[in-house]
Amino acid sequence: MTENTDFPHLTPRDDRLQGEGKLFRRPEELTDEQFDLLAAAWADDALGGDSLAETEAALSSSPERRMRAESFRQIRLSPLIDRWEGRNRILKADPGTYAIRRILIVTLTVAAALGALVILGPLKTEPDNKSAGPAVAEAQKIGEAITIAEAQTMGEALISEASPVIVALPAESVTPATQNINQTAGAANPSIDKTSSTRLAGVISGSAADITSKPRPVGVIPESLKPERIVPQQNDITASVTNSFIHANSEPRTTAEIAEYRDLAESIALMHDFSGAVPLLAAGPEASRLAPVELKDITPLPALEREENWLVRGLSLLAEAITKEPKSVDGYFIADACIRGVNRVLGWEMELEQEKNNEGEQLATNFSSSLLTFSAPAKKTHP
Amino acid sequence: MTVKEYNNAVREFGDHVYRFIFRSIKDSHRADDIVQDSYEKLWRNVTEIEYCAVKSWLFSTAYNRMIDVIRKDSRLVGVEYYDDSSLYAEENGSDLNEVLHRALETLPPAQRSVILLRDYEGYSYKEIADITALSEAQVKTYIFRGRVALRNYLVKTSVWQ
Repeated sequence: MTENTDFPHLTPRDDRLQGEGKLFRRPEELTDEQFDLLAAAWADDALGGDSLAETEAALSSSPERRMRAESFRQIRLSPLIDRWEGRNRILKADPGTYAIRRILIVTLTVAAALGALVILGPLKTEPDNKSAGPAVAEAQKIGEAITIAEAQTMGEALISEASPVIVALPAESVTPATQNINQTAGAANPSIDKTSSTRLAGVISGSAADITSKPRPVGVIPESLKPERIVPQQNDITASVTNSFIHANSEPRTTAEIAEYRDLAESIALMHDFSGAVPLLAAGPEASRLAPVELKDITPLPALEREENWLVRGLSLLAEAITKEPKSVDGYFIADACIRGVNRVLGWEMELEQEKNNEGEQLATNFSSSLLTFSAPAKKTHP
Repeated sequence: MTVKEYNNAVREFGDHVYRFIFRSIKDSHRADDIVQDSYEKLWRNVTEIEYCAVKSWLFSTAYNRMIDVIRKDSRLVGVEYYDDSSLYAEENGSDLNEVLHRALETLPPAQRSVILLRDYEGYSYKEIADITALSEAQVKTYIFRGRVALRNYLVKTSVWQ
C-alpha cells in the first residue's frame, strides 16, 4: 500500500519533513496547520538538531503556541481491554507430548479391552447354570463322555483297555444284549478275543437280586434316568461288579474273596449313590485287564453354587465392608466401572454393555470405542 | 522456532495483534479471521522464523492481510474520513482515552494503523516502516497528521477548548 494510490487525499504535497536537521520555513512563517504538524513532531520527539532548536525558540517566544504544542503530548492512545477469544484454538500440542498421549490412549484402550475380556471370560455362564469354574467343567465333560444317549442303541462297542466306560441305556433297548452278556459271563468263554481291546456286547442288567437283596435308597432323578428305564440299579451294579470279579479269570474264587469284593462294591455304590446316577457296566473275563477305575473319573462332583474369581470375591467383600450391605459384584460391573473411570479421567467415550434377550439371559457383551470395537458372545455350557 | 516458542508467541502476542487489527478495522469477526490467518501462516513457516522476530513478523503479516481485506471491501476506505463532519458529536464526560479511540475511528486506516503501532506497541518509526512497508518519512507524516486530526476532533467535540 502506498499513500499515493490508496490515500491520495492524505498525501502531503509540500509539507513533508525533510529531516531532523533543518526546517523549510521559520516557525514564525508557518500557518496554524503547518505549526500543528511541527508541534506534533516536536511532541513526538521526532525533531533534532537545528530544527528542534528553532522550534524551541519559536515556542518560547509565543506562550500560546507552546500551550498548543504541549497539548499534543496528551494525545496518546492507551490500549483498551481487547481480548482475542480465539487464542486457544490455535495453540499446538508439543510433538513429544502428543506422541506420549497417543501411546497412552492406545495402551489404556487395549488394556481396558483385555481386562474386560479376562475378567468377563470365566464368569460368562447361563443364568440357570449353578456351576462354574474349570473343575466343574471337567466333571461335566466326563459325564458327557460316559453317557450314551438313549437313541443310540448300541449292539457292540470296542472299549479301549485303558478307558473304562459306564453306559446308561434304557432297559428295553438292552435286554437282548444283557442276556447275551450274562451267558457270556457265566460261561467264562475263553474264546473271547484277548487283544488290547475288550469286546463289549451290551449292558448287564437284572440278575443281582440273588447276590444282594438289600434295598437301597433311590434319589430323585430326572425322567430320562428313572430306575425302570435304567439298568442296572444300585444293587444290580454291585451284583454286576461281583460277577465280573468272579468270572474275571479262570481261577476259582473263594467265598471269602467274593464276599469281600462284594462288600467293597457295595460300599462304593453307597458312597457314590449310583441309584440316580449312571449304572456301571463291566466286561467279561478280560475285566481284570482293564485299567482300574478311579473314583475321580466316575464321581459326579457336587454342583457348586458359584465359583467366583478371587478378585471378584475380594471386591465383593470389600464393597460389603464399606457399604454394610450385601453386594454382588461380578466381572461386568468391574469392567464397566473401570471403563467409566477411564472415560471420566481422560474424557474418552468407551462403552461396555450387556446384550440380553427377553428372558434376561445374557447373550453377549459389547465393547465400543473409537479405536476398538468387539462383541464377545456369552459362553453357554448347556444347550 | 519450536512449537513451544510458537505457543508462547500465541499467548504473548495474540492479544496485541488482535487489538491492533480490531482497532484498525473495527470488526471483531474480521479481526479474528485476520489474526488466525496470520498465525496459521506462522505455523506453516514456523521453522524458518526466529522467535526474536516473530512479533514484527506477526504484525506485518496481519497488517498486509488487513489491507487485502480492506481492498476487497472498498466501503471501508475513506467513507469515515469524508463524512467526518457528522462524527463530531459533542463528547460530554467521557474519558479522554475513550474519546481518542472514538476519534481514531475517524482517521484513514493508514494513519490509524501507524498511530496504533506507535502508541500501543511503542514501535519506532523504522519498525513501523518495516511492518507497514512504508518509508520512514511516510510513517512520520501519517503519525503527525493523525495527531493533528485527533486534536482537531477533541477541539470540535468540545473536549478541548
